[in-house]
Amino acid sequence: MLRYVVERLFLIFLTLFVVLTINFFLLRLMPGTPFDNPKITPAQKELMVRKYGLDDPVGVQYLRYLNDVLHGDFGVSFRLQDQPVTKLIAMRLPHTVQIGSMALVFGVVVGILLGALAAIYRGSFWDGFVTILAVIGVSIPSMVLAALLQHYVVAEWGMFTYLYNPIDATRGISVWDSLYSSILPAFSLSLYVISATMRYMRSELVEVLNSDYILLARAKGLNKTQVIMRHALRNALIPVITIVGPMTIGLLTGSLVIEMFYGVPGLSRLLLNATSQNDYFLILGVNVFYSFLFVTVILIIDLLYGVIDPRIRLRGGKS
Amino acid sequence: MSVNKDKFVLVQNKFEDVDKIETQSLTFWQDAWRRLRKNKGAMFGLAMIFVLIIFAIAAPMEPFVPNNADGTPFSYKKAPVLFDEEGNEIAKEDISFVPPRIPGIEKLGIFDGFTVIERGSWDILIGNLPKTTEWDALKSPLKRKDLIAALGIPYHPFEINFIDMFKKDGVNFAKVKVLATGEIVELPYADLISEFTRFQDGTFEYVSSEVDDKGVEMIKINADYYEIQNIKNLYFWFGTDKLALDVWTRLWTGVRVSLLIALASMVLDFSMGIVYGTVAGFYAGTIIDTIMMRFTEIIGSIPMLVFMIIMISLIDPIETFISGIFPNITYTTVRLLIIIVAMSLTGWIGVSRVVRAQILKLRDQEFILASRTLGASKIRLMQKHLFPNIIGQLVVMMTFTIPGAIYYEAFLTFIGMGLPIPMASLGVLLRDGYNSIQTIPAMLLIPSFIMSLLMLSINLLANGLRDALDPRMR
Amino acid sequence: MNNNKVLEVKDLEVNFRTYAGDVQAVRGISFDLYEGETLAIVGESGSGKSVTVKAIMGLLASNGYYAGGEINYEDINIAKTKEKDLHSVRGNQIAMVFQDPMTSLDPTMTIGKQIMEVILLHQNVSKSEAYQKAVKLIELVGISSPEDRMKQYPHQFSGGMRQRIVIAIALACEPKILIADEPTTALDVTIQAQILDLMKDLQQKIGASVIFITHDLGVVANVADRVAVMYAGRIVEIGTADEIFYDPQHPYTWGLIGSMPDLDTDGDLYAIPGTPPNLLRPPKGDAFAIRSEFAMQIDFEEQPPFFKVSETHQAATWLLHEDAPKVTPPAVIGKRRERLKEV
Repeated sequence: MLRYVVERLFLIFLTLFVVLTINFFLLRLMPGTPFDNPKITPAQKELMVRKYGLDDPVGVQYLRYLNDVLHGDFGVSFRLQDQPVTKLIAMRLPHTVQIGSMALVFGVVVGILLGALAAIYRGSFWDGFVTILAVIGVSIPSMVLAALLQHYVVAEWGMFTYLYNPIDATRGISVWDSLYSSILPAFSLSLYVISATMRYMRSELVEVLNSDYILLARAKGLNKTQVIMRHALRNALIPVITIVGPMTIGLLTGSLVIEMFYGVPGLSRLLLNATSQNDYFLILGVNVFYSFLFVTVILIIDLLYGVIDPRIRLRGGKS
Repeated sequence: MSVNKDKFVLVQNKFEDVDKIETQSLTFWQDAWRRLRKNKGAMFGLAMIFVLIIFAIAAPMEPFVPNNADGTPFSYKKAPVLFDEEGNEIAKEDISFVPPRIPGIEKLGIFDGFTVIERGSWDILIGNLPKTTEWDALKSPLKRKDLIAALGIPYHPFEINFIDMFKKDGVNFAKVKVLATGEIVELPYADLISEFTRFQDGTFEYVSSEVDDKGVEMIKINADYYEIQNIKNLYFWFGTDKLALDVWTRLWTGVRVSLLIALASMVLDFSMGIVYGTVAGFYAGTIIDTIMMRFTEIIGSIPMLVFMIIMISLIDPIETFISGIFPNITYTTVRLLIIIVAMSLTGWIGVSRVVRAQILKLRDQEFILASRTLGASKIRLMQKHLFPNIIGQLVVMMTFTIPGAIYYEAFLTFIGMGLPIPMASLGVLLRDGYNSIQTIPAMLLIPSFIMSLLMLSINLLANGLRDALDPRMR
Repeated sequence: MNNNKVLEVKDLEVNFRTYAGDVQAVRGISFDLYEGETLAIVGESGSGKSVTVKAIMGLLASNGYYAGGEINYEDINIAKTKEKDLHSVRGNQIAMVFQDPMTSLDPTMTIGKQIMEVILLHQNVSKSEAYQKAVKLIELVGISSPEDRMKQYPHQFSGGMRQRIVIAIALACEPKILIADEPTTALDVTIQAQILDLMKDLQQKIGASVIFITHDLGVVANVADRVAVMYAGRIVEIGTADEIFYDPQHPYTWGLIGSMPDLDTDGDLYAIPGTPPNLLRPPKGDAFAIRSEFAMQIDFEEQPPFFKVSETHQAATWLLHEDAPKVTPPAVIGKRRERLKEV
């Protein structure tokens, strides 16, 4: 087990290294420089290029960057007054996490409930109804949903808020206020989660309910509720964990529309702005961070799976 | 028990018939189609898709208006010219943001060309005075008394504030406050207005009025836009946008473009993915496969946005390059192609993984072993055995990818990466609509509804297909 | 074997609703089960044997329903009893062992808990008492170090051992009736023998009656007191094991017995041509007629009633009618009859 974890960690470092390298050279392909702003005179531009060492050969820049990274320095943002990349990411991350985790928890719970209901009452009206609801949930484009929510729920019904308010004691925004303002963005994000979870849970539970050991459980004399609660649910939930991983990653990295509409100072927007302005180090930093998230979440899910499923746990851990 | 003795005669059973299979056997596809038909959601989706596609095809074949006939870049001043009831050319500014109006349905009170607009009190009560020196002279603040005398109205708009309007004995009355004296006066609306204003009695409903801190009064009314703009002879079914282009036309053009983009990128993704996955699957376990899979993981972990932005910033060099080869190709076509390619950059990864997994699974199954023992070549194996087994899953995946691609295109447009004005696509329509959500919500609602309907239909169909093709449910 | 009737099945009919119509899986069967005996039900796949026992347990699939008849146990008719009233019977008084031990147990629950579950459900004991009982049961079915085993999961056991656990669960509450649905079909031959011995042993200890489903006649010979032969949803012949093996009367039974090789066999085995009928539209007369060498005109027109061969032996074939011609059963059967006379 330990050996397995160590192996995976090594692979993670390797992957991140490769991602970093590829990104580095890929970005140099982008035309233009960070200083194409017309307000900057050519003379200033040259100064800045020299200041950041951008006139050195690419290979040299690369090695220098690697060296910095190993010391924990991911460079600075050209555009944002030389603030260190790590600090910028750290400032933005909590907001993305706050909304993302609300969306995840809400979405997974609702999705599991709906999926279980659909499976238990399979073939009945409720099954079809719930499924169609879930499909509708993903068919409404997120920008439309966000716009509609803001226009009708907030403006006309007066519920919730237009924009997301981060926790800020100095401006009197308490934790509760912030959470209140996070409700609409989290809800918008959660629709996809609900739909995917529900679909998966339903198919897993249907398969479980058709299995022999459920028949045996009934033969023991358990009633339907006991069968579901004690045997069926647990067996169906285990595979559902596998999709929670990719969804988490999606929520953390792909909420650009939500961030734009609700004014969330999150990572996606940071990346977008950086990318359109050739802010190399910032782009690199965020990309590498995303890759890091990606592989780490996958690792955690695999480990979790190994712990929860006794068939894997008691065979050495390798899934 | 009395039974006819004759019946106890041995019958010679012909055993040749006995092994015949009794029920009608269906092919895989027939069975799947039968099951799909029973899924009401999927059938609804299929019907809707059909309808939407018919509309999309029937839309005018001018999705791209990149240049005017004389080669100058497009500007809305050169959009198709329209004429009003008197045969005068209508200014483009006047027919932008026109609300929807559909003949027939307008009698029901919806899609009747009415919208809430806000106008200053001068516009409403006086309107556009003819452009002569005499009238111009009367516009001065010192000439207010002369102006109202010339117009035959009791009050100058800047001397009163609206409070309300109501109907008394079938006549529209206005309740106003005279600013100088503070008294409230009620009088028929018709008496208040000049002959030149478009806002004649009966052409609108009063909503409210507000005076800002500078004393400027803005009156909100629910008016028949067509009447006001003097275009009563025209019908814009879904209204017009800010470039005075008919939304109905643009909508269906947009659907067509979005669908084309989605389909093209889906085909690209799947072609690449299938080939890549098949190769990897066949060489599974070898170093070739390992390299190929690691490659996909690395590419996959780079956010798509980065690729997109790089590609789009490379549009100009690419365009010159391609123009060198195909001189007749237009800028927008190149842009379109680039978007399609950029959208397909990471989708193929998922496809290749699925294909590879299927091949791995099937490779070890016994019927493959049997085939190979009989001497089948690798290609034949692929054709006859692997492919038919995978195709069900692939069809489902493909159907699911399309709504995602439609959405993705809209997403890219929203963040500024997609099609340029004046091309139409669902994303463009949504973005324009969002910008006018305060003035005409319909501009956002209509494309939203159609886009959601389109995505919903395809999703329902895909859902149904998945259930129908799932071997476990047979 | 006592003469106390433990279970009475009368004219049972079970159908399944399918998209193509209703399938008549069980078309009117009747039999009794007596205290302490083992009744084997044999037949091909699709003959309705599994459906019959599931009907007895009240465990029909959601598209199945009782189309007629009674299943009388003690003072209730299971075919007409509501689901919620069956819970105290299932697992407690009537228990079942399934065919595939690899999938019969919950993979994510320890076997200790799975055994204790059925005990705690039906018996008024404390958790630690249930624990002790479970440990004893594990030992009883022949698994060593029972205490350690309690905490283990099904995948840590072999197929044979899992089946023992399933048996332990079934017998935990000392049921009056044990139903075994092809319990050894999925196991190796050597393990098969062990499991059969175990079951016989435990049956005697508890004094239960067993309904044993199988298509393997060798197993029948090993365990059965009486045998019922099913075909196309009906019982075609029923009698003691000896009677069925050595003096079968129905052409289908001939086919079954005849296709079983033994030490004296030389030459070709007898094989029954054709396949079982479609139960969506079952044939009018004797369902086996079309595959039988010995079919008569009347077989295609009317269902044969049961004809008594002895007090304990009945067969539903027109061949036993007084007006039927005398036929010679396949050679194999004749030989067997000879041997019976010798014994």
